Amino acid sequence: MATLQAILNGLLVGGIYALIAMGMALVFGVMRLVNFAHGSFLMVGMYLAFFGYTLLRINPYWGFVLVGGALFLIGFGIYWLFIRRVMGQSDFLQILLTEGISLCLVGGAQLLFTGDYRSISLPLADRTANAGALNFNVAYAVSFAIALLGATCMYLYMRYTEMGRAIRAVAQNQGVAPLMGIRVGWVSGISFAFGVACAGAAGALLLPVFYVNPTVGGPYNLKSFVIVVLGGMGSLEGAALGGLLLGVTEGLTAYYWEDSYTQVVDFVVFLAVLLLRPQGLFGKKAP
Amino acid sequence: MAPLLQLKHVVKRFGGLLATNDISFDVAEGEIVFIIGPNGAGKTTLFNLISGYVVADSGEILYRGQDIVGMRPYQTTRLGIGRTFQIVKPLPSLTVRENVMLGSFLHARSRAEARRKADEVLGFLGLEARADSLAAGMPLAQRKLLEVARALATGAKLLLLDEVMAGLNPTESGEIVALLKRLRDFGVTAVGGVEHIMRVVMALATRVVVLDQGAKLAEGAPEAVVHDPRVIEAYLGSKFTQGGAAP
Amino acid sequence: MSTSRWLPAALFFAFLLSIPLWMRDAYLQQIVFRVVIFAVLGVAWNLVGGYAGQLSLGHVAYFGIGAYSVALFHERFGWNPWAGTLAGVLLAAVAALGIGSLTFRLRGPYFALSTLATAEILRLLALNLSFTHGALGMIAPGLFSEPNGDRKTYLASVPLLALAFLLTTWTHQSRFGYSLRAIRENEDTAMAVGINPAWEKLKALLLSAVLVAAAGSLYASVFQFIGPDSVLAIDLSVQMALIAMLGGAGTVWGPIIGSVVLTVSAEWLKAYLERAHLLVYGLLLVVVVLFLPGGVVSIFKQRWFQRTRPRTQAA
Repeated sequence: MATLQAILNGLLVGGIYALIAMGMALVFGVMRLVNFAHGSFLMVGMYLAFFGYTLLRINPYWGFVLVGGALFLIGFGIYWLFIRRVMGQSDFLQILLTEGISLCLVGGAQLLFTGDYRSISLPLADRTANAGALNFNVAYAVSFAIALLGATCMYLYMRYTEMGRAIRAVAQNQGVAPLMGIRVGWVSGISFAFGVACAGAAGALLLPVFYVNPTVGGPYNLKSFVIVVLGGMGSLEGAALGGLLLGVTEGLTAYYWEDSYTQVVDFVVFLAVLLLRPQGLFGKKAP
Repeated sequence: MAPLLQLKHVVKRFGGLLATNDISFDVAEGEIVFIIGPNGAGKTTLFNLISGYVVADSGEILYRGQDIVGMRPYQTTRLGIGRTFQIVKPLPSLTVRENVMLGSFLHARSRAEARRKADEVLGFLGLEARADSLAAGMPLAQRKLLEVARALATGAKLLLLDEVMAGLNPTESGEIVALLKRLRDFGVTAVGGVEHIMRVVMALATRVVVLDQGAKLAEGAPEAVVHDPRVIEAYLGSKFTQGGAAP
Repeated sequence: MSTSRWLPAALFFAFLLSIPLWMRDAYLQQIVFRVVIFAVLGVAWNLVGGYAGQLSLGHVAYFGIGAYSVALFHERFGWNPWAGTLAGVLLAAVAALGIGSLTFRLRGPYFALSTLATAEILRLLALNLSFTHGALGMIAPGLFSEPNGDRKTYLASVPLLALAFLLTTWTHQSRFGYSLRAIRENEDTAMAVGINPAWEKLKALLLSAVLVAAAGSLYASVFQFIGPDSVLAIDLSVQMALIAMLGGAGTVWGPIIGSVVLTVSAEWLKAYLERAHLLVYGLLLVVVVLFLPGGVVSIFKQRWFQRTRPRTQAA
């Protein structure tokens, strides 16, 4: 029973992981870019949500839409100003650029907000409910539901809208897409913006149950890498499933072993996947 | 004398695609052999199989009697198999001489020796004037020569030239042709891959192997192959007459 | 090396060695020490990242191994820090072989991520295992006893930098160096000329790891207090890359110049903006990647090049 509880907790957290990772998977799938700044954008989203709540009384549980929108614009801007210039160059330079952007974001946050830990307390966050013999934190459940909703919307968008199809076309074959009239630069920018928006929105959803400080994005960034590789680079479904899986794995690790070892387990899973099944769960070819 | 290179029933699949379908042929020392086939026929796969970038699923590839299937490219290079690529990639941040030295370093015992050997090869190919310029920004024909120079500098006795004439105008192709003729004097056996049977091929090749969708269609002296009905059928005549059947 | 090569180097190192004679301010001495140590780190990273073109973001692992070895072997077995350093270097070599053979199988971003993962695993282990005292950190003994212990340690670091510098100079013009550069540009081409990329990359990593570990040991014995966040942080790996890129990756002097520029400007900035150094690193990294990927050295190289090389004929 305790095991089931651990699994449930893990699953709920995994929902948010899934949302974060899907953003990264989208960017990689379309642009073949590993965004080392992904976690930092989550942090930016968290700060936006924080100030939205403390200054404007905007509840993150609907404010996340605004945060997502803001980060969409920010992400597109960053793509247009910086990322665009290294597309087509070595991954070496691309990785260093996104890492540099990450440092700028974290460093900027440190300068503006100091390293203080801040959090909000929503009445929702303290409530627990139960489903049968299992109990769960309501806040986590709401986040999970929203994340699930977000992931579903994303999936539907990719499937049924014209831009969504364009995005998938570029992800499949960047060389051919322009021949079909798709402006790859534009699509890349939109995808990047979307990916970043996912991270930001996830940050807003995390705020009620977590704290925010400039370095909070780091571990989530690393977790996203693990999940995206686990799910198969570029696969949205893989990232979603991988997020849930990682959440459950972490939950079980925390229960059976020790909480502090969850991060180690993350990385061991990561290396194991890279070395044993590099295409992940849903990926097509090995790196 | 045993052939330099022997392929025996070599097969290679990529997923569902049968890229190399039971190919067998020999290359004797001193020959100039051309492998002919349109893009997709399997020429590059064959070169990859011989040089070791791809491992054959079955069959044997013998170089000087030694089975080289499963060897990595740097091992086949050390044995004496040199290779140029269809898309030439010189190292842009190094000079022409340094690019060739990359090849000559393989068997040289000192930097000075590597440099000497590189200069020798550059001279042989007529590139010595450009020795100190950066390889970046060189015209295509010169870059192709540089690829060949680098491969020669490794001491290759068997040179695999994948589409070495692609993208060159007639004058530039002529330079390559002259080069191929001199290779034989240099002790190098050449196997080239081209898309159609060109005049050049007719003049130079001692033998020709025609590929169609991964399988060997015909083999023999250029004259004979050109009149082979199976070859004519596969090429539907039009590409074929470009080669100029009449001597 | 030709005279024009070794003269500036000899002068530079003589200058470094002379510093304890005329620089009295302890704070400035510490800055110089950091410049030298980070120069070693940058030069070492440069072998793998600059010459071989492999973006390792896990180099801090070897730094941590060097630092913790000094502390651990002293605490457990009473070893003096010289023995601890030797142990650290050997351990780092073994780790490099292990990590290298695993990670070099991967290409591009997968490689970078896997190096990051291995370094993070080490950091998390140091944080959680009891014998490393977790977040509390450990005390490392100084290499020399007082008085003047710090100065002597500084003087010990200069030969380390000189060694790293000589190694790079040799690499730059040797067959090994050409092999690494070939691997950097195109591994398939490298294989076509008889180079075994896996083995050459491993050799570069071994040399690199050993230097980084030695620097870690020196660092530990000077600052005498080490912890997972000071000697195993991802930030350090990124800093090593930044130092090499800023000065000029794949060049001999680049990382040294990079260290001077970065360490000095970071210190200078601290006086005005206490918390801004990450932002500055980030801005520098972005600027270098977008506008000066060849680093500071490339500014000089261009001018020299235009003056001494004949113009290439455009065809």
